[in-house]
Amino acid sequence: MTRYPTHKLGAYTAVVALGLLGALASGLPELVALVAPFAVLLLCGLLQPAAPVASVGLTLADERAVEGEGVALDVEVRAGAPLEQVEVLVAVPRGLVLDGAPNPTALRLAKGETVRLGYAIRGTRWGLYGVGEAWLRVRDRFVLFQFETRVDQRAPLRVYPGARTLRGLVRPRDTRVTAGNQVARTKGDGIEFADLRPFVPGDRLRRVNWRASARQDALWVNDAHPERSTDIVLFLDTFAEARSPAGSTLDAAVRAATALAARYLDGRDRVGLVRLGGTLRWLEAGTGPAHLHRVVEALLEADASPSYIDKGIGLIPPRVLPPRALVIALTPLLDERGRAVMLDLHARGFDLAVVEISPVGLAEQGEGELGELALRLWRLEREAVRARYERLGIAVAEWRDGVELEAVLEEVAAFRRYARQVRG
Amino acid sequence: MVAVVIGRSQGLLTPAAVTLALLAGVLLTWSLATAWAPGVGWVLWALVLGYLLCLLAQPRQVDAGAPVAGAALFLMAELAYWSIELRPPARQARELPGQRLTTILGVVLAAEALGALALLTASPGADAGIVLDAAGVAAGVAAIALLLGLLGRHRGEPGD
Repeated sequence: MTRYPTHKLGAYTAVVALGLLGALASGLPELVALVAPFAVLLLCGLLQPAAPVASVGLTLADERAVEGEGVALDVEVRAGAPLEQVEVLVAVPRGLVLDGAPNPTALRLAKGETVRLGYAIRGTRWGLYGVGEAWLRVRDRFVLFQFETRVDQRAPLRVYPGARTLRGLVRPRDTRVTAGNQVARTKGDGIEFADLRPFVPGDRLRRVNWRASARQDALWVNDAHPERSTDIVLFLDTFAEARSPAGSTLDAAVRAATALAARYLDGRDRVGLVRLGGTLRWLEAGTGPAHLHRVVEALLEADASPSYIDKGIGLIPPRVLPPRALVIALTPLLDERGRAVMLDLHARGFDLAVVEISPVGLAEQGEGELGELALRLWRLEREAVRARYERLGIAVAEWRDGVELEAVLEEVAAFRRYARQVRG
Repeated sequence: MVAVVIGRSQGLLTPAAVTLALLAGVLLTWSLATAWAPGVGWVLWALVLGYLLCLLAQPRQVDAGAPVAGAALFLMAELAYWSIELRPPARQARELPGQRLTTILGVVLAAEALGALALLTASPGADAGIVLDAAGVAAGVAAIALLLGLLGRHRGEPGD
């Protein structure tokens, strides 16, 4: 433990010295009587044993939680000697909130006494955290010295993004040959009715449409759209983010990516992940509940660290971006490099849908007329980027504060139903 | 304490004592309002100096109220430091305030006895011989040396 003298020690010593020296110099005994209480307290305080003996143990009940969910954190304070005043402060990383016992807490402990403080630690933002750091401050009985120590028993806590269940999704242009829940645009064996055509040898009898055959005086069969799975690549633009105390565009992007991954994997599709920004990370497309866990784990490490390196999709291995995959880009469209990547993906023929996580609500207007003008120009520039994407046939929808992700996806889907693809 | 200083000050030293006392009052208010702990130390210095000026200004007779003034000064300082310590929000164990008050009162009582003894020894009726004077000086020097020695011992311990 590190010892620090309190302000009181210095002040009282100075007062006692002033009083006693003044009494000696002036021959006034009243000064001795005046500073006597200070002298008595100093004497008692300095004669008591020095270093207190105390230990702190922190136990985190679980290492995984979803945003908003509490995890029990027990703090055990044990005194090896009588401790007159012990203050325990649990360090809480930004993004977590501590509920339960007050923090800090002041206690008085007898020799050998153990006190347990029960807290619940709750994540307000997804991420990887280290929980278990505390500060212990012991004051002596006369508050002349304080002893401080830092207890570091950090254990990892993974706070997963709280994902909402989505009903509607963006349908891919192409599908894979394996079975799934996506209705393919091609015709074949399936449930979804596609068309009627004349019977050809080899067609199954149960596919004959008897009503149409009776009208046409020949055998006609029903064609159907087969149910197939598809490859989805979630593309996170982490070149830049807009942040306010209430949240950031990256927070929203990660929550949206989690919801999309969960929903697509639920439909037996393969989901991959690319994070392109200050650092480039990818996860090859996979399927199943275990893969959802991998996707979410990869998302937890997402951050928009500043970088001047101009990265393009040329760095991404081809197997990470399957040729017929639907690429859903989650981007704030703040960085020129991120915007260029969208155009590059489109130019390479990928089926691209862009969800623009709007930073407009997080932007603060500058002061005066110039500030207002700058904000308007910035908004116009963003609209121009969107218009350029739309002209090229890239489905883009703006996700503003307070709007459900499902509504944004529906907007993307509606655009894709009517848009015409343009190369370039 | 400010009132005591102002009430007792006479003659030429009055303006200085009054100024010191008023300054101390303002500084104490400021220190408590802004939780500035070093300010309390300066307040103590100002009040002790003001009291010294009062003693120098008045006719030469022992002030019997000195232990009470000392106790008041000590209580003021302790309560001021306590108030500042409590500023950060923290749950206090129930027994802490009572235990601290007991400590403060115990110190005050012990100091009152000590102060009264010092005044009795130095009162005009007492036999103020050279031996007693020498013993008083030696006690004063020894007290300061003891405090400085204890401080030095604490500084040299491995906890620093």
